Formats: sequence, structure tokens, C-alpha cells
Amino acid sequence: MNRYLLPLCILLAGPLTAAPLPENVYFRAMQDEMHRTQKELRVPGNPKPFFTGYKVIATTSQGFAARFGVPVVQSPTPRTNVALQAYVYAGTAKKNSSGFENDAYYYQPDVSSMVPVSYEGLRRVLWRLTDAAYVAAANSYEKKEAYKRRKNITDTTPDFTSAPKSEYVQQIPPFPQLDGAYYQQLVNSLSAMGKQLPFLEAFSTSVLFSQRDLYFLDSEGDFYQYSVLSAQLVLTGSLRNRDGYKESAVENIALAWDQPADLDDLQQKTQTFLDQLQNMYQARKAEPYLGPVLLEPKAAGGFVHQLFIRNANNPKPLLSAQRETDSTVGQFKDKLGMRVISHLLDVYDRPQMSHYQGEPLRGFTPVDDEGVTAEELPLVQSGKLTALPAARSPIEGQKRSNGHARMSDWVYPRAILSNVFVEPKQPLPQEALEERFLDRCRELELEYCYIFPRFPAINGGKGELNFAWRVYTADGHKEPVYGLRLENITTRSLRDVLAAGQESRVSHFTDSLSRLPLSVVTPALLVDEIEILPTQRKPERKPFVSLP
Amino acid sequence: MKKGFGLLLCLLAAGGWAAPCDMAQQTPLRLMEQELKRSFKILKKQKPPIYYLSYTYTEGEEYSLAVAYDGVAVSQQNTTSLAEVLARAGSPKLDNTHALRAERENWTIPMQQTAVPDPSDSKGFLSSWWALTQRAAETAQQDLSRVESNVRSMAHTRDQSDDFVFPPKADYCHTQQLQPVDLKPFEERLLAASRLTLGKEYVLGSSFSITVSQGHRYFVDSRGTRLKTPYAFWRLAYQVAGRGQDGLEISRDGIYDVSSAEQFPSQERLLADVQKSLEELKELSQAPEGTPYNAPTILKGRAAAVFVHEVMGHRLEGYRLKSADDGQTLSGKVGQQVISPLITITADPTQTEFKGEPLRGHYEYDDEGVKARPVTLIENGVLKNFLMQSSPIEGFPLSNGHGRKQIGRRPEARMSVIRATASKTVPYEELEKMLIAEINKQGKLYGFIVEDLGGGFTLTSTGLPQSFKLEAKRVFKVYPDGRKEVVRGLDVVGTPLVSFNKIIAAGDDDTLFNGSCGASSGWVPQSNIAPSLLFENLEMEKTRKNDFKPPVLPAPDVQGGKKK
Repeated sequence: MNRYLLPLCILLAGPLTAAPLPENVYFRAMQDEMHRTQKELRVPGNPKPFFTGYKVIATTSQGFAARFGVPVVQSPTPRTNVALQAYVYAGTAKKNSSGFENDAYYYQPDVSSMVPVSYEGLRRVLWRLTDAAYVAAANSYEKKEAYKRRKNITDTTPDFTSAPKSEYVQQIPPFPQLDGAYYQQLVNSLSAMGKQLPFLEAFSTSVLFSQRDLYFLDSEGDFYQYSVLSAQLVLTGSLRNRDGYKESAVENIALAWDQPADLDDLQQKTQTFLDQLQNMYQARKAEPYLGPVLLEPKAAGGFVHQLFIRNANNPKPLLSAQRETDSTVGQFKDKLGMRVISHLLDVYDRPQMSHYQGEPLRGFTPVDDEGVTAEELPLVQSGKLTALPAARSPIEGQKRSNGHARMSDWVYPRAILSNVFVEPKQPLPQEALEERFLDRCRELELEYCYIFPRFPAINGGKGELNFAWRVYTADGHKEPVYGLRLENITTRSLRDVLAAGQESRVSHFTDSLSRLPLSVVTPALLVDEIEILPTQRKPERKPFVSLP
Repeated sequence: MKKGFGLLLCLLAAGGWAAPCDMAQQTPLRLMEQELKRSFKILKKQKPPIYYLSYTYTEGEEYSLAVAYDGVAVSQQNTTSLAEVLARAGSPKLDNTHALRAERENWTIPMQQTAVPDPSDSKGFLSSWWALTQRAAETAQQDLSRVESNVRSMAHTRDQSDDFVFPPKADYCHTQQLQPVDLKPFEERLLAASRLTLGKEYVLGSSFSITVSQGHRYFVDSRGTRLKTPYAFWRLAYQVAGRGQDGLEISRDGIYDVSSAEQFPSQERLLADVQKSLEELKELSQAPEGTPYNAPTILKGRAAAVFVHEVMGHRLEGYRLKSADDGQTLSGKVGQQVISPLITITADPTQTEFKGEPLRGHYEYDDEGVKARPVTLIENGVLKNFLMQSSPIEGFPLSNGHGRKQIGRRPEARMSVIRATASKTVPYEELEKMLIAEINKQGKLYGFIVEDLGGGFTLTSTGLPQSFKLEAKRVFKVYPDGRKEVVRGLDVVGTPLVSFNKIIAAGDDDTLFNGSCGASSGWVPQSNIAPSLLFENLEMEKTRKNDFKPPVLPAPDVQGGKKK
């Protein structure tokens, strides 16, 4: 009887894919090389490849740029680059090379760009990458085992958990035939609007269309295929303000992928951006301040990214013979069940969501890079941390993957959030929120408080913000301010949120470690206390020669 | 009349069409000159003054196509529109470009550069130059303070020449109609060549590419120089590479520099050359490893050209004699015999082609706006001159038109078209006979013929021995009976003065090697021409190997993986 049991198990574990692999040269090459890898790639004495993942990223882009009304560096035709990523875990599900930072290798997949697009070309590159990844994995396996023996780590939790088979297939559209003359004229005319501000040292506009086609296959037969489409107008301006400080600002405006841009709407948005540059020029320097700050939705997105997402990512530390602690691990690793944010807020991660109010979400991840269907995560309920992103390498309190293993050129699959939604329990209309903000300022007997349109990157509790609005409590009038140095910004501020608005907006960010894209959808947030000091930056001398 | 006709023919043969060039019609030059004059008027009165200012504008187009294993990897085209500003603060005696001692920062100090809008709209174009000039002037003043402090505190350099000599004013306009570029027809040709690498177990990597870069360079300076000159580089190149079980890497390549698409090799020739390279790679993959040995050696054509460039050419770059960190191999030796009296070395950027092949090292004016001119560097073994930019050295107060740079870097004296010639030559077959005779005369077990020299390095810093180590990519052991055997894994090593004095004969087979040379002023295109050279002896030592074995599994197309 037992003689039949084993073949049956093997059959069950085999590729019982519900849908066939999409028919294209990428999957043909990946499948054939994967098959060879699993069957034949061995070095006597070394552990076998246990789990292999391949990803193809075919990026096509076309851009148009202009400065003060005239074209700058043009690429008249779309540009395509095909890149490949490959990773191999050597060993077994119980013990393998994953999760170990080998001093001889980075914790990164093997990557090749500008890959020749042909079956033979893809096979050749996959062959080289797989071989290099296997050599690194076998080396990591031995070092990891030696490290565990040295540190007397006897934990029997398997290194890699099983997961149901996953697949996601979306038709890959062809890159659109763009009307180059139209878009060049568009950026020319928008950038010409910059001529109205004589103090602008540079003003440029660009339109960039980018299509990233993603193809993934792993050795358990999981796969995905989809496109990430992005069209945006980027406005960039730089100036020297009245005090001689060099300032610059960038605004990204999402464009519809498949519809012509609305010129009136874009002109209006460009004018709004120019108004902001005018405000930056006229702004006064910040003074020391401690008190409430109203974060507009884009600033709230930055606040959530800097203080919440960075601390929720990578909850499983990498083992390393070089370092006792993994500095990439988020602070919330051991805080499941604890209050990490204001009780007024719930927070979710929704990797399956591709758009919000018509705008693409950059964290869209239907299936993760370990072949697991990405799940919606209720990260925070009434302020308490209820879940963390997990990969197939289990962590305390989460024994299975929830489909958040994301890989980039800079990191093997690690547990990283994708589309984070902040949902207030009692959202306030804009007017009520502003009233609540001013009431709180008056309550603290402050002459003025701050509204932040953006939130800066925080490092070591500090961040530099180059523009904010000062709002006077007496009559509510606003004044532009520059040179704000934020101090002592910690996760404590997340618990200081007093109120939230009703209207959510999308902000896009790049994870600092993996450089993976992610999106945050959040309304405005009122934070009770933020410490501000004037910037320590020094102003520039006046130009020798006046603008031509 | 006859002379005029001849000139027209030369221009046609050089590739693009020479178009009329009316200086007054050159909008970029007019705008650059306008903004430079406006800025310089104020900048020269600052403290410290900006005493010299130059603007360079490069307007062109770049095309690239790369394939491998029957697939296209890169196919793209771009326009180039780049502005560069060089500001000199202080005085010609001492300025911000002065080499610092005990500091590394100025090794690769960049020139201020940025992409600029089309000059059709003067506002955008001019404001870009304005912003760049401000940055360049601020940086120059800041660098000058650092230089002054450094000069006061550090030991003096031997050569106390000025930092700059004003280039003579020049006015020159040469427009060349850019050739239409369509690389699509070449795609299938390269793909067919790439298919030759499939199924070969000894091929670990390969690439086949075409690159085209053409356009014009505009230059104005505060002395009133106005220049417009064309550039055009068309190249087809391929490489096939492998790695032995011992980690030793081997490769063969082919490079074709032309002036227009029609001059690329025929498909039959390309396929035959690739096939030959593959056979050589296979031969190398099976060849025994060479062992260190000192013996009579021929550096054949291309290898000799690389050798002259690497081992002697860099030491003839004048700026090195001002650097206290440089070994200054040829310092104080002008008029003295420094290498074999058989050899003369010249630099001539005015030369446009050699045996019908365009010279990448050709240009009309250098990157400091100085007219290119031929220079005899070493004559019959006697040192006569150096490659000079507008930075004097002792005994050589003026530039000879060799100030060159990559976009974004400061100019330095660099090679152009370097040519080694011999006062007496013999047919190559005779040279091989002389080699065998020399092997026998010295009682050596064998000698060497090096057909191809690849990458390597020449040490010129005082902190290291003044030596060179160049990878012999294809080398034969030659036995006293004339038998030849390919070996792999050897580098040619030695020191410049000793090795160049060991040249005892030269062939009559002058060979061109076009390439790009990298140094602190960046990558610049250049050409090297030399005959095969017979050395009384040259030393070979082992090549560095890769730590990794070849892949565990054979290439998928070798093993017979599933076909598409």
C-alpha cells in the first residue's frame, strides 16, 4: 500500500495548475530553464536548489520634456529594456539558505538588464543567473548552519512554509502609439508658463509614459503576468528665495493612460504649482515651534510612510554572522496587539487593489514574489496593531505567508507593504477639521500653528521641510514659511493624531530599503504635537550676473 | 582649380556632406557668445576674478543597437543637447585647476554641465547658460581658495610652470550634414551573426552591437574664439567570451570603425570574422596555460599599437609632468635617447583615415579650442616633445592641440592619433625568422608572438613601480624549430624604458587599432598605429583568474533545451 502512497503525493504536489501558463517567450524560457534547474542543477556535496523564482520586467517608456517653452533632450521613439531577476534557496523547506545575510554576497537576487529578447537569449541569461544564485545559496546555507550552531539556535520552525498554488494573468497590452508632436507641444506650452515668474532659475515639465510588464514563475508552478501602466506629468521648479536660499519643488500629476490629456485642467494644475513657487519665493524663515500641525492628505501620506510603513516592514530579522541585529527590521516587529497609532484610525494594506478613484496604485501586487496570493491585511484596528506583512518564512504570531514577499533588484523577497489605506473612525469634513485644528491651537494659547502640504523624509528623528503654511489663530490668515527643521519625530507622533479628514488622496512613495513602489491613501490628519526649529542650512550668495 | 576639386573629393570621402557654414547663421554660437560676454564682463571684476571662461555646447544624436543569441537587447536613439562651462578663477599663474597635493578631490573634478533646451528659444537656452555659469564661477572661486591654501602648506612641485596659457583666438565653422541613420536593416545582420554563438559549449557570453554618435560641437571663450566642428563615430563591434574550469577568462572580439553605414563590413565578411573568432575562442579554451618566462617576443600589429599607447603614450601626456604624484618617467629627458633608436612616435589628430579606415582620434580643434596639429614626440628614440594642452610645463609653454576630455570633465593632454614608425622595416615573415634566430641565439626554450593585447594597466604613480601589465589575449609560444603553440593565461609585464629599448626590429605591416581611452579627463576616442615589433625579450607572467568556475550546467542551447 505504501508503495502507492509516495507517487500519489508527488502527483498532488505537482503542477496542478488551474490555468495554463500564458503562451509567450518569457514563460517558455522560464519554464524550460526552471525545469532544468530543479532536475539537474546540483553540485555534489552541496544542498540542492529547493525553491527558485524568476521574474521578467519588461519596461517600455517614452518621455517628452521642455524647459521654459522649448524641448530638452528628446527620445523620439519608445525605449524598451528587459530585465531578469532570479533567486534560489538551497536546502529543504525545513532548513534552507533563505533569511541569511552572507558576508560574501548581498541579500539580493541575481539581476541582468538589457536582456536579449529571444528564447535562446532569455534561456542563456536565466542559466547564468540561476547558476550564480545557486552558488551563492549553497554558500549561504553552509554559513547559516554554522552560525546557528555557534549561536545555539535550535528553533525547529521550518524556514519556508507551504502555500496554496497561486496565479494571476492579465493580458499585456501593446505600448500605445503616442502622438509625439501633441505631447511635445503640451510640455512646451506648460513649461512656457514658467516665464511669468522672473525669479525662477529653472522650470521644466515632462510627460512620461511607462509600461512595466511583469512575468513571474516559481519552482512550485505559481505564476503571474500583468502590466503596471503609469502616465504622469512632472513639474519641476527651482529658485532662490528672497533670503537667498536655493529651493526647489516637484509635483507629479497622474495622467490618464488611454485618454488625451485635458489641457485646461493641466494648465490649471501648472498654475497652482507656479503659485506655490511664488509662495516659496516670498516665504519667511521658520522659528522655533512646538504644537499642533495639520497634515494635508499628501503630507499625511508621507507621515504614514515615514513612521508607520517603515516600521511595519521587514518584521523578520535576517540572520547574519557579521551583525547581531538587523537594522532593516521595523520597530513594530514585537508590537502585535499593542497600540501603535491613534485609536481613531484603522489601517489596511490592500495589495490587490490596482486603482483608487481612477488613479493607479503603485503597490498593486496580486501574487507576491514567493508565489502567494496577496491578502488584504487589517494592520491596525482602533489603533492596535493586529497584523504585519509576512512572507513564507514564518514570524512570531504569523505562521503562514499573507502574500507580502516583494522582491526588487536590491533585496530578495521580504515582507513589505504595498497599498496602505488609513481609515478614520470619525472623519471630519474639511471645515470641521480646520476648526478643530484652530480650536486646539487656541486651547494651547499659540499665536499660530502650521499646515504641512508635504512631510519630509525622517532620519534619526529629524527631517527638513522647505515649505509650510503658518496659520494665525486670531483670524485664520496664512503665511508661507520655509526652512523648517523637524525634530524628535518618532512613532510617538502616530499616537498623537487627534482627528482626521473625510477626503482621502493617493500619495506614492518608494520604500527606502527595497526601492519598491508603494502607495498610501489617507485623509488629512491633525497631529497634536510636532517640534520645529529653523533650518541650519545657509543661504547662497546672490548670483554674480542677473538672469538674462 | 585642381586643388579645389581635390578638397571636395576628400570631404565626400570622409562621410557626411560638408554644408555651407556661415558663422553669422549659427544661433547657438551667437547666443553662447552673447551670454558669455555678458557674464564675463562682471565675473572678471569679482574677487577673486574669473579670468577665463569657456562654453561648450554639444548638439547631436546617439543610436545604439545591441543583440545576442538571436534577440535584440537594446535598440534606442537619443538626441544630445549638452552645455558645459569652464571657469578659471585667479590668474594664469595660479588658478583653480592647479593640482592639489595630499588631497584626492581634484583628480576628477567635473566641469559644470547640464542638458539645455533647444536654442530656437533664446530665453530657455540663455537661462541655462546663466545658471551653469553661476555654478561654475562659484565652484571655481571655492576651488581656488583650496588651491591657495594647499600651495602655501604643501611641498613645492618641481615644475613651477603657470597653470594656464591663453589659447590663441580662433574662428572656424565647419558644418557637416548629419547622415540619416536607420539601424533596422542591420538588426537581422547582427542577429544572424549572433546565431553563430549558439550551441557552442565554450561560449559563455557574447554581444553584437552598432553605435552611432554624430553631431556638432560649438565652442566660445572669453578670448573671442568661436568654433563649430562636426563629429561622427560609427562602430560595429562584437565580443565572444568564455571561462575555463580554472576560472581563467578568455575572449575574442571584432571592431569596425567606419564613417557611414555603407562602409560596415559585408555580411559575408562579418560572419566569416565571427566564425574565425569563435574558432580562436575554442582553440583558446583548449589551450594549455602558459608559465612565466622572459624571452624574445613579437608584438604583432594591433598588439604593438596597444603596447605603444599604454606603455609609452600615457607617459608622453604633458600634464603628468606637473603632478608630484606622477612617476614622470620622461621628465628632464628631452633631447636624450629614451627608447630604441629604431622607433619614432608621432601624434597627428589632423589625420582622418588610415588605409581607408577612419581614425577615431581625428579632430580639427581640441576641447580647449586649440587647433589640432601634428607633433613628433620621439624621433629615432630621442625625446622631442610632449602632448600639450593649454597648461604649460617646463620648456613647453604652449598647447599643441591635445587638450581633450569626455563631456563633463576638465581637459587634459591626451593622445589623438598616435603612430609608431620604424626607420628600418622588414616583411612580417622576415620578422618571424628573426624571432626564431633570436630564440636560438639566446638559447631560450621558446619565444612568444602576441597577436592581441587587451586591457591591463600602466602604473604612473610615484607610490607604485613604473610598470605595466597587459593581458595577452592571444599568444603563441614559438619553439626554436619554428613550431607554434597557442597558450592562454599570460600577461606582458615590464617597465617602459627597459622594454622600449629592447625593440630590435620592426615589420612593414603598420596596423591601426581604434579605441577609446579612459583617464581622469574621461573617455576619449583615439587611434593607434604601429608595425609589428620584435623585442630582444619581454617578460610574461600569469593572468589574474576569476574566482568562479564556469556554470555547473552547460548552456541550454548546447544541451538541447526545448526549442521555441
